[in-house]
Amino acid sequence: MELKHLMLRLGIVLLSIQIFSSCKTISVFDQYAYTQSTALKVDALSLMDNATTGFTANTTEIEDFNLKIQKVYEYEKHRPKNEITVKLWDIIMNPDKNLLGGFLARWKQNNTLGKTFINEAKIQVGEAFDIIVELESQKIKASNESVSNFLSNNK
Amino acid sequence: MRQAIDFTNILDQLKTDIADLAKTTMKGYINDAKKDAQQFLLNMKDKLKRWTELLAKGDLTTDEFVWLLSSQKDLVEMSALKHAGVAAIRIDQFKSSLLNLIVDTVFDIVKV
Repeated sequence: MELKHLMLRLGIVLLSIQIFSSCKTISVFDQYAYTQSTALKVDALSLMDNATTGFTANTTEIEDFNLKIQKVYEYEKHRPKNEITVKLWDIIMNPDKNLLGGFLARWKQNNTLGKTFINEAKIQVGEAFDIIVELESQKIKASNESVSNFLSNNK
Repeated sequence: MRQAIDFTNILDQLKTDIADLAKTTMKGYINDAKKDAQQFLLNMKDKLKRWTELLAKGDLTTDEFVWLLSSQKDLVEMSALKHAGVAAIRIDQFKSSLLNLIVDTVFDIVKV
């Protein structure tokens, strides 16, 4: 293929990427957000196991966890076109709903919770985290797919 | 002298290819959403059965049972949001494929 032709095609592909990135409907995949969400799921489920013991005896662990989740929430809030993921975090964290926030509120109110209830609640909270992780993993990877395609088509 | 560009040919080719692309994108999304919804319902049915049995045995209190039912309602809300997100991802993928398609079609016909 002629160099001139190749350069022109590359120019158009790059312009297309520019146009595409400026009119996206939803945020692209973010490795940090993905890793943090999966790590928080493990931490959350582990913390929930402690609810057979008194809430006050676990204050340090609960505060540490809340700080971690707040940091991730702030990160998600400031990603462009990320409203859906933020809404998902709002539901998980809301103490008036019945997922992680609601579980922690119930633990605080009752001081300890039953093992069977904890196990069932963990399934629900685990699924809630999975929804966030699955959505993130389906997002388009910002690895300039078009450039990769262009390069592989013009070897 | 350079040959004139046949825009009618380009547009005809694009019309066919874009229709095919839209069909493939939508079909993939609908199939995935259907599978996901069916799995969710199946999963919900199993949980309802288990919670009812645990309630009957006294392993769960009525209050805990109601809490778990409400948590399922929250999961339904989250699942609906996820589907809205996946639909938005498909739209972006379609837009990206559309741009590639236009570039490829134009260059195939014009042969710069």
